[in-house]
Amino acid sequence: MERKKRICDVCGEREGVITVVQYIGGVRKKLFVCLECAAKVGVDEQLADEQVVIESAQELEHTCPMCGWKLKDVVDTGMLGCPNCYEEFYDEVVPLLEHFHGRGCLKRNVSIALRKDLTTLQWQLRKAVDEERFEDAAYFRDLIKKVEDEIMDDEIKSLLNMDDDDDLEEFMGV
Amino acid sequence: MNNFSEDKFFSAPQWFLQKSESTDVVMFAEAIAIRNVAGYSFCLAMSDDEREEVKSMLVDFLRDGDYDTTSAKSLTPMERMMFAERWTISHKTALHPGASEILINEDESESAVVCNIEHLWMRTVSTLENLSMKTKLLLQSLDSMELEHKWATHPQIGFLSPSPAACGAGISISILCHLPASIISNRFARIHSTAESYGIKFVDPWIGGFDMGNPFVKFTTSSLVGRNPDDLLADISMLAEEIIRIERLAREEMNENSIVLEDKVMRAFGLVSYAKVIEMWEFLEILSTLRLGAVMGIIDVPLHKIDEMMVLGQQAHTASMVDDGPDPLKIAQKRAEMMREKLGINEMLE
Ligand SMILES: [Zn+2]
Ligand SMILES: [Zn+2]
Repeated sequence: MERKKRICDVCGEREGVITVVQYIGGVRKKLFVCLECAAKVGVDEQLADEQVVIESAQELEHTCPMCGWKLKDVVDTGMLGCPNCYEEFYDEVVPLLEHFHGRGCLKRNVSIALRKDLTTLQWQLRKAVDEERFEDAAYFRDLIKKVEDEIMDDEIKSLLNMDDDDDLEEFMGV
Repeated sequence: MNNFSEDKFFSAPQWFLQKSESTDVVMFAEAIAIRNVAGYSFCLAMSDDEREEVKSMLVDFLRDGDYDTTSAKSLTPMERMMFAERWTISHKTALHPGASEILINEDESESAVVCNIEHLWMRTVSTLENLSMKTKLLLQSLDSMELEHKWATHPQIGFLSPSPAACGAGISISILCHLPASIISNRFARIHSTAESYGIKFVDPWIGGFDMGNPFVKFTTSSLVGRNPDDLLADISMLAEEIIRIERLAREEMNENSIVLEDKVMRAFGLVSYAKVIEMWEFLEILSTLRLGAVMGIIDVPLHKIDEMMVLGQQAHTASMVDDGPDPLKIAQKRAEMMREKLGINEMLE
């Protein structure tokens, strides 16, 4: 789909390519500018021109259960609070990622779908230990072991280019 | 504890003065890796306890290497700015160090920042020729750290950072280029579009913004999601090759009309020889022309002396050499004096 061209908010001449955020008199203002003007106004806080329109105040209060970061914080800072935020605010983050890394960048990676589980489990394990919930901790530790094994299998499989579990079992001699 | 002697700031970092076959165009290459420890919040959202935990585990590991360690707080703002001018830390870290720890090795070719924006920011610099080797070493040390702490990753995104722009390969690769002839001969647009096709953007070598007329340009890989370090190294190498080819061709062409080039260089030489003040805005332009003149054999000033000035003539470095406070006019005056002295022009004029 061809995007409609938009003129730079600052010079009003060249084609705008990037949205920058400026604090003018304490008010947060978004400007859509060309590269030349981006140099003048500063590009410290870049946001995608495809920036998701946040519809309601309620949505802005959506909170990541792991770190307490709100969608509002993501919008204000352009940053996320923790690894889990990438799951929690996935829909909002995708346009940002595509803006910075190119359209379709997320499809480039055919990778270990399990790593994310691992990150979350490690988190849960650490919380459980901190809060002295030792039964939970043991449970998470077991799960982590399982996921790690699966990742290992996955890596071996991709190494050997085997799609089938049977091939793998045969290879491992089970 | 602050291990840095102030003498450090009276000369440019040693690594920056090392020359190779390509340094007439590619002044240096740099790899910056970022990592965040899995199971913890990112720096902005983390509690003080979490920060101390992450900090101590990463700093303990790094201290086993060849680093001097200092907390950012123990550096003065002026010292932090000087480290940014030497490319040792980022401009952002210099301005907003927070509670971070800064680690720097002996010759400043390697540095790390713990708990600034990323849990870990690690940088290595070298000549273009050694980039690939130095990058592999950097990645190896990150891998060995991972035996103790898992890094935060996402199956589609790759390594995670609080900033979506920094996610992906977990590393970005840059080259600092000197492109006076390409810019004068209007070839920069071609370089720009070549860079763009590799997902590489160009930035100001210090601040990171854009400055169209600056002949010193830093190219940085910016498309990082779905890429791995080898892809990025290959992209930068291919771009560097193309840039070197274009810039050298442009220089040759300028040389065909040598009186114009000579005139340009000698005017810059005349300016440094007699100017009483040299302001920041004209400084890089003059230096660039002198550097071109030295590379083309028009003036007899060693390249490393010109490159040394590129660091020492920066605002914070020069300001630190002015005794009575940061008066802009005195800084510009000091810069003019220092250029004459460091480039050996005083002796030439005698
Ligand atoms: Zn404009
Ligand atoms: Zn979170």
